[in-house]
Formats: sequence, C-alpha cells, structure tokens
Amino acid sequence: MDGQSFSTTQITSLWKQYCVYIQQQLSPAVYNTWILSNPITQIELVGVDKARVTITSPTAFHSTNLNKNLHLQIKQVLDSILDRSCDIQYRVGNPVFGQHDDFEQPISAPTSVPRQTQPSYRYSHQSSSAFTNSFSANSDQSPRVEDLFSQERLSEAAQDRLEAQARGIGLRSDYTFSTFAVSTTNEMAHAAATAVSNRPGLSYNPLFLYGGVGVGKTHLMQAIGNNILKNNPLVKILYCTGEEFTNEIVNAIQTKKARNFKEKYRTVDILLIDDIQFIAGKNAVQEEFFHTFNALTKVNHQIVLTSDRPPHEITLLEDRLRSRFEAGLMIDIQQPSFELRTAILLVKSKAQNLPISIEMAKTIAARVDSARKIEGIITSIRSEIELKKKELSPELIDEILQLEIETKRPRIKVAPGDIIKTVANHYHIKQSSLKGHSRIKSLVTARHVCMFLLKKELSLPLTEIGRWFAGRDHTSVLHAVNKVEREMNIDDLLQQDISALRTTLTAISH
Amino acid sequence: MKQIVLQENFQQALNYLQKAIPTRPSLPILSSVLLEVTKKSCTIAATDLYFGVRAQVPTKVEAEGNLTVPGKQLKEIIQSFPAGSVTIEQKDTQLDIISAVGKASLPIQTSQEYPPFPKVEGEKFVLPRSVIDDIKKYVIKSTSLDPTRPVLTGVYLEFSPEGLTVAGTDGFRLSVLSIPLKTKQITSLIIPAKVLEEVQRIAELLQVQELSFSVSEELKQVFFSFDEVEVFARLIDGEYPPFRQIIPESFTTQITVSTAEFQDQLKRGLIFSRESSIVLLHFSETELKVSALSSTAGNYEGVVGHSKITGEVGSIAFNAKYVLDYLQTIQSESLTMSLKGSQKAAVFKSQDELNYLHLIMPFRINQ
Repeated sequence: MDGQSFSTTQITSLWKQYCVYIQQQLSPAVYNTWILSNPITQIELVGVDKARVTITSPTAFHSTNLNKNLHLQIKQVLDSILDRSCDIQYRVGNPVFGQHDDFEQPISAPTSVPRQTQPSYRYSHQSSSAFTNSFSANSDQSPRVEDLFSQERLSEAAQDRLEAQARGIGLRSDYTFSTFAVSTTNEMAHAAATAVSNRPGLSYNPLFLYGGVGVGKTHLMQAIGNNILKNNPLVKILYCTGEEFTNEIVNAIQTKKARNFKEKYRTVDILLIDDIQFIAGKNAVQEEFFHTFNALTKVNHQIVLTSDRPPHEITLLEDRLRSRFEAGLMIDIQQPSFELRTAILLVKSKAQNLPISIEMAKTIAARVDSARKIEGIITSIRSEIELKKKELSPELIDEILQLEIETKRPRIKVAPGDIIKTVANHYHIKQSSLKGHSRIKSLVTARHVCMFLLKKELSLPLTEIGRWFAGRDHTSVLHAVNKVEREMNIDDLLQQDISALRTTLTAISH
Repeated sequence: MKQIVLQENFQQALNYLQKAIPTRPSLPILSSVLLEVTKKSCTIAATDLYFGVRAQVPTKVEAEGNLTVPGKQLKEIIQSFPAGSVTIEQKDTQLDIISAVGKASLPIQTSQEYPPFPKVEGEKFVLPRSVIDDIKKYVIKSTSLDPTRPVLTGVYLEFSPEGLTVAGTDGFRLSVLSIPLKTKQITSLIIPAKVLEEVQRIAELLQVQELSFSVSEELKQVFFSFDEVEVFARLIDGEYPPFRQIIPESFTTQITVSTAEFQDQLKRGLIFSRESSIVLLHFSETELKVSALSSTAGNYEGVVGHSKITGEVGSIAFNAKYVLDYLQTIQSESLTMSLKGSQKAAVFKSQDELNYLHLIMPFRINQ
C-alpha cells in the first residue's frame, strides 16, 4: 500500500468527530444500528487529495445497507472532516474488539472480559492462549466443575496424551536426553541424537548408532523418539527392533497382507529400528527394508538405526544397504569409561531415590562393565533396601555385586576352539601365533584375553587351558586370568575388547 | 400491490420467518416483514441483521410492489384466518388483508428503509439431511448459551479428507460427531447453534433430502438455500477451543451400563440434589452405585443393575443433568463410560452410535 496510514489514536479521534457530525443527521435508532456499531478501522491518505477509509461492520447486513443506503451521507461527512475525497470500503469483521473504548459495545461484545488486561483478545482467532485466558476469567461462574479448556487442563491432557502415545509406540518414558549421562565415549552420539530429534529428517539421515551391549544405543534412540514427540505430538513414529521388523514381514507374506505392511512402514514420519543387524542375511527382509528406506529418505523422513557393530562388519548385509547406512551419519558409542559408569550410576540412583555415595558408586562402576547391568544392580539394591529392610552399606553392595555378576551374564556355550578362533579373528592374528610361544606384546595380550575367557566363560581347569597354549604351566594361566581381571576395570580398551568378544561368543553360542 | 394467496401457504411462509423477526429490535423497522411482489412471485423476508430468512409464497399477482408491514400483527392475523384465499392489497399507506371472515389494515412503511439482504457468493457445500438432523440431536444440546463466550454458542464443523467432524461444547461437556463423508472442501466453520437449529426445523418442514449452503469468508456469512426458503446468518469469528486435545485416550476404568437403568437411578438421585445437581457414582469391582445427598431433604442410594466394570475402583461426581441430557440423546440400550480417576473428564460412548463421542467434566470432590 502506498500512502500514509493513520495511527489508532488518530483514527479514534477522527471517528469521534465523524460520529458527532453524523449523529445530527440521523435518528438515534438509525445512528445506533448503522453508525455506532460500524466503526472506522483504517484510514489511509492517498496522494494529495484522496483518502481510503475502511469501515468494519459486524455483519454483511450492516455493510450491505451502509453501502446502499447511507453511503452518500457517510462520504459527505468524511470528505469534509478529512478535507479529501474519500474512497470508502465496507468490510465485515470483528469491530467489537476495536479501539473505540468510549463507545458502548454492540450486543455480541464479551463485556465480562476486561480489555485492558487482554490486549491480544482482539485477535482471538490467532491466539489460543488468549482464548484460554478468557475462560479463566469466567471460571467463577461454576466454581466446582473445572473448565474443560483451562490452561491447566490442556497441559494435563497433553501430558497424558504424550505418555499414552509414547507407550503406544513402545518408547520408555524414562529414556530421555535428560537421563542420559554424557562423557567423552558418547558425547558425539548424544550431540547427533539431539540434533536429529530437533530437526528430524534434516540434520543427519539416517543416523546409525553402533556399539556394544549396554552402551546406551536404545536409550539414545528412544530419547530421540520421546523428544520428537514432545516437540510435536502429531508426528507418526514407529519404533521396533530388527527382529520385530523381520517377524512382521514374515507374517505379512504368510497372510498375504504385504500391502498393509508397506503402508504401515512407508507412511511414518520417523522410523526407529533397534538392532538392525538382525536383518542381515535374510534376503526378503533386506529387500523390503531397502524399499522402505528409500521411500522414507526420499521425502526426508528421519530414520535412526542401531546395531551392535558398524555396517561394514555386519556380515551378509547387502552392499546396497551397507552403502546407504554409511551415507548417513555413523557414530560409534564406546563402552562407558569408568568415570561415565560412575556418573550413570549416580544419575540412575538419583532417579530411583537411592542415596548412593560417590565411593559406593565407584566400587560398583569398577566391577560392572555395562550401563544395563548398572540398572540391574540399582534395582537389586533398591529391592534389598525396600523389601528386606537392609541398610545401604558397602557390604550390601559387595554382596549384591557378587550375586549379580555371577548370575546375570548369559551362559556362553561354545567349544574352547571357538573361543580361540574368535579371539584370533578379533585381534587379526593367526590361531597358531595365539597358541604359540612368541612374546610380542600384542600377541601376549590376545593370549591373556583368550585364557581369561576360557576360564571365565567355560570354567575350564587351569591345566587344561595351559594345554591349549603349547603346554603352558597352570600358574602362567592363573597369572594371565588375574592380570586381565585386574586391568579390565581400569583399561577401557581392554574392556571393550572383552565385551565385544563376549557379544560375538554369545551370538555363536548354542 | 395486489395479490391473492392461500392462507395456509402464507402462514407456512411466515412460520419459516418466525425466528428472524426480532421482538426487541435495535431499529424499529426490523420488527417488520418485507413483502416483495413481482409479476410472478411473492417473497417475504425478515432479519435481525445477524440472522435473516426469505421465503417464497405461491401467489396470484394482480399488481406488483414492495413494502413492509409490522411482523407480529401480520403473522397473528394470518394465523387467525381460516384456510382459503386471502386478498392482499395496498391502499395508499395501508395494506388491506381481506379474508372471508374479515379485513385487517396494517400500516405500511416503505421498503426503502428495510435493510437489503447481502449477496452471498462463496464456497458451496452439500450435506445429506441426516447430517443436520444428527447435529440437532447430538451436538446442539452441548453448546453454550452464554453470550460472553461467542465461540461456544456455535457449532464447529470441520471438513477434511477423512470426513466431517462436528463439535459442540459449553466448556463443561463436549459432543463430537464424526461423520464419514466425502467432501471436496478442507475447511472449518463455526455456525451459531440457534441458526442450525432453525435450519434443521426448516429442512424438516420442507422435507428436503439435501442441505446446500454457501459460505462467504469475506462477508463472514453463511447462506442456506432451499427451494422456497433462504436463510442468511453471520458466522462466528474466532478460534474454536482445541477440543481434540482434551479427549483422553487412555483410561483406568470402563463401566458398561444399561441406558434405561442408569437413567432411572440418576433421576432418583436428582430428587435429592435439586440445588447442586451433584450425583455421586461409586464403582466397585461388581457394582455401580448412584448416590445423592441433600443437606435438608434427605438422601438417596441405588445400584445400577447389569453393569460391567473393568479396571480400577473408585468414585466420581457429575452434574446429573449433563449425564441425563446425554442418556436422553442416545438410542442405544447400553453405553460405556470410560474414566481416568475422579478428576479427569469422562468419555461416554454408546454401543450403536459409534460416530458419537460425549465427554463430561466431573465435579471436584474432596474425600
């Protein structure tokens, strides 16, 4: 628009003047109906001798009548007040909330709403908070039934809804970013996950998180889901494990409902798949996943995947999938360091209201290698305290740790040869060198780890283990086992190696 | 102007105008009815500027002319005349209405002073008659009469690819009707509940199968057109409350009861809670108990037979009138009440009316 617009106060004073003039020409009823409830809402000067005036009427009946029957009179008055030739536009709107405080309000005005405290109410159709404010102003009408649309009720409902939705999706409500302890081993992953959850589909797509057991992959993935949901409850999120994905495909094929399956997966906004390595080697599943993947990434829908190892180490994974996974952001979450484990312990125990001291936390962290086990330990401690009424003490923690560590680890059932082979593969050395006499440092470490696993996992007698390694003495074996046990609690690398090996062994265990 | 009409036709047309003739108008001429007689037709019209109706009267015209006469007198005199032909003729500043039984003369005001009806052009909608009947039946009762909350005095209609959603609420209860319907439009409107009620009445009188209307965003006007009748109304401005957000999705207790038995028990309870209308419901694993207490007039307690309760036990207090309103609305023999504690809104659904959801806010009770 060209020309100069009048300010609100200018319009108000002009409008008053206009009313005084025109009132003299009309009967009071006509004046009240056609002038008073149809205020001037905009004045714009055009050029040197013209003006554009907008009159806003409450209904189309008003504006039609003004235009047809009163136009000349209105124009005359406006022309003489503004000393310009006026072009008058009649529109229908909500002049009720206009600037004309001095005049009585037309019938539909919500007189109970004090306008001074509700400046935004005038644009009520744009502001929902103004809407709910106006309700609270009225709440004393019915003091005992709460208003359905009070702010409190709305946020309560939103919270309920969010929880129900998260549950429906399969997200745990306690897996959020705020309960995720961050340190150097996982800060990259945490940063990437936060970025993805704030701008799904736009920052890193797909996001591929990998790492050993209990490093927090699932926690981070669910935190992404929870955060996206919090930002926008309407987003369609699908969370499942690679195994569930596989089972669903198998089912869909069996029941000839592949279309439903496609519909379900390809229409989501966010797809979260845990333990994607599970689909490797299953051709039909990989095929379907490939198409799902393409359909979603094409429209910038976020995909987050987790795996226990990087794509290039997932054997039997199709190359086209591997390259797609690698095209996104791949982040390695390392085994939690001693410090992080301590921090996790403190965060989680605080969440469960357990006053664990930093000293006790260190004791536990030194003896437990994964975050998941930490959770188990905390639960056990809590139940001991709450159910058996025991005191929280270092002795109690010792007792629980003994029990936990022995029972919680899944039994690995493999032949001794398998362990040797796996260790050799892991360190990229020949089995013969592993079993041989060479005392190169890297070989020694591998050998010690191998002995450690044979002892701990298979409980072989020390002498028998010695026999596998070129007839070494049982004291050498004992030395090796003790050394590894000692070092793995302080050496993060060693610990990572061992937990990776355990994972692999569990996988081939029968 | 001179014309001959049948009393029954003229009375019928005036019946359509009924709600549009204001009893206490802001402008005196608005209490009049406008008659526009052309060579072939006679149109009568009335408006209070927010709501207007125009109706055709079958007629035999002898002379054309436009004029206005006092609405109340016109309506009542026509009503009082027996069926048969009535001659309506302008004599200077009077309108003579002559029937076999007598002659009435009404003062004429010029039609110039009567506000012209707006021309409404805009998006066109067509709905099956059943939709407006359902709106009347299920939704209008939940709307508010409180003029300080204009939005709640309206019925919310939302057209989307999934169909039509209709909602009405007074802030304490909510009715939502989801109608699977193919519509071209994706839009939402708030139409005054009173207007829809009137439109439904006219549609029923005319026995139409379809309801067609246009909406002008610019004029904020909705225009319903039937063959012989046109209805004009102002849309309600503003944002409709986010009703979907407050419909709970998860519940802790579900109670299925017989509509009739529940209704009887609530009515008995209401006898003892006249002032407050508060009726307390206790639900255990096996039974639903209704109780009401009056500080002066005694109390009542009764068990609703044949109820099925799953989930947590507890109690909740309602305004019995709201619940009875709902029970009277539904046709089904049984209904399900879904609760989440005693403080949160309860969701009511009936077995045979799956498109209809009703929600009632409980009273806060201190126990």
